[in-house]
Amino acid sequence: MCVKWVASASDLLVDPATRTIDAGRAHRAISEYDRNTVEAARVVAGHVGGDLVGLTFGGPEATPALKEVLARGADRAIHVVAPQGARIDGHVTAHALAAQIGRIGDVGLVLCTEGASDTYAHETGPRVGELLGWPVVTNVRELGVEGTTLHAVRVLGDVLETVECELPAVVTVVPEIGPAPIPGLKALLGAGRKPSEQVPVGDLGLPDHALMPRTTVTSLLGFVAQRKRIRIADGDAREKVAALMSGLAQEGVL
Amino acid sequence: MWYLTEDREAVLTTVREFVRTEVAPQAMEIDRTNAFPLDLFKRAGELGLLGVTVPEEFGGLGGDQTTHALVLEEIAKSLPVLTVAMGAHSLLAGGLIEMIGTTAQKSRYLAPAASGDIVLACGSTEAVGGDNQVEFSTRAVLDGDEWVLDGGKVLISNIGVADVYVVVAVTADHVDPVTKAGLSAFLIPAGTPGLGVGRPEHKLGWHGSATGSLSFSGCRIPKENLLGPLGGCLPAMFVSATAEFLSCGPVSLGIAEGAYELALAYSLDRVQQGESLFDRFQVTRHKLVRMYAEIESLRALVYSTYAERDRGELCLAQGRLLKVKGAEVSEYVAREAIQLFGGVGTVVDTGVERYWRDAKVMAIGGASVEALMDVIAGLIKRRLA
Repeated sequence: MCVKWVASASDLLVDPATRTIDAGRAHRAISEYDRNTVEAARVVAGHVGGDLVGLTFGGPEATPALKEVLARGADRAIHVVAPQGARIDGHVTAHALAAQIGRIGDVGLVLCTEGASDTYAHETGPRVGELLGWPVVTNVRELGVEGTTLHAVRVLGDVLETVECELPAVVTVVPEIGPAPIPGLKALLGAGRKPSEQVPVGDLGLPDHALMPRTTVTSLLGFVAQRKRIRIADGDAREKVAALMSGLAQEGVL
Repeated sequence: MWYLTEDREAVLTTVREFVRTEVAPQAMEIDRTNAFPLDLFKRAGELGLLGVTVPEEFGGLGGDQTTHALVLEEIAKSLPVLTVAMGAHSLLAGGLIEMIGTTAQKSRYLAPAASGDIVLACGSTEAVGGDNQVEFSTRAVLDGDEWVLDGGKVLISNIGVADVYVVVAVTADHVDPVTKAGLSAFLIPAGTPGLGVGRPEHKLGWHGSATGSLSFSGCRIPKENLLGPLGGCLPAMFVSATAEFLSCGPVSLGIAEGAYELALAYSLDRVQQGESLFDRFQVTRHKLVRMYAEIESLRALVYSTYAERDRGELCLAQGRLLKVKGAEVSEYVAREAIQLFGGVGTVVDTGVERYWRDAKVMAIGGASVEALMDVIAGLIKRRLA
């Protein structure tokens, strides 16, 4: 399964005056939703008896992601390392991940989270599937494998759709796929004894265009709620409620 | 932070997740009901938090003391009383078993204690005073192949929930006033006939610690339940108590941080005349800076002391100093946090005043800071500090 090393969204500090974001003191971990994905992958691997490989792509700072996925049940983990400060977008990420998956060899199923908790772009799984030439099943909340057939239940708003496809395949899962147990300290500290590998992205033999981002972030600003500080002080309770209803209607809330 | 390694960061990630998803949602209810948090205690065991420093051969992680301190600090930010239960279990009772238990006793008790399958308690204090061992009246007499205990203990944590009690009793004619020789430790399983368990006291703070009395009336236990040398358990108790006093450092730090975070958030969120309290009042800002300074000073003391401990030092004086300084800082910060909340700070539902109540007990529970100051003074005088 593929995971992403991110800054915890709840630790981001937004300067209300400039709306600039300070992530300097934010705790880093694998994306919150990835934890559910890792557990789903662990369950599937347990059923089919396969090896569970954790895979991440990012700068050198992402290495601790390996330990976390190993603690959560992966048998081994690989970090495809981008040069420090390299620009990365969905295009580059998908090429790096797909190339490394190809190098692993006998892979039957790739699990990604529907969206990472920082960008929530919903693109990594479909892009990787496209590059591998494998079927892609998105928005999955239930998952099972029988022989070489994947069974999945997709959530589409208020509708559940059940699909099947032949493996190998790429599946993107939603957090409802199942809970993510907290790893115990024994698993956590034992993770260092499991095999892990760092592969420089330059060693994957990718063409230059694969490592050239197609999108550029030109601005990143925090969202700051602006209070209107309207006080309804005049009149009795009935009149105040009426004034409130009227004000909400004017704002388009009602 | 200088003391955070990759492994310790990983441990913190797990503990924070445990605290955020399981501990914090129950913290206020536990304080309100005074109910021992047995489910959280068991979960702590499942996650390995009860056996951080227990050797791997006895089911623990074989981790270092600093990692243990980080675990305690993080939990104490949300529910200090859980660390009190953990301390009585792992440091006092478990520490004694680890230090002076036979291999059979270690194998029997340490692994299930580390996993939370059993709860341990340690009973030493009597009504005459915790450090007044010469007047202890709980006695154990050997009768054939059994020890028979009579007497009573007070203010013992984890009563009622403990599966095994480590109990200190007099086994000589008298306790030597200087060496304290004449005291022995025993392992007493819950449910042993003659063991009486009192009702948990309703205390100022540490709600949920299940602290109360034990009584022994013709309480018979097998001869092999003697823990450690006959008449000579006190040196080990001194060391295990040091471990507990040390732990008061990170626990106090967690209490102070918990109160400080609430006060800071309130000061930034509460608006008067269009400005937050933080922006409007210099006194608010200055109080927060003082609180922050005290917290950072305590942090430096805690983790430098734990680093010494990890280098093999016993830290007899520093360990006790952590309890003294920790109680002082946590009480100060929690008191100021209530002050910053103003009137609502006294309302239980704000969740801020319980930090002060827990900090206040920290200055007395286990050993008063005054008693510890005398021990520290003695160590200073002998150039052992």
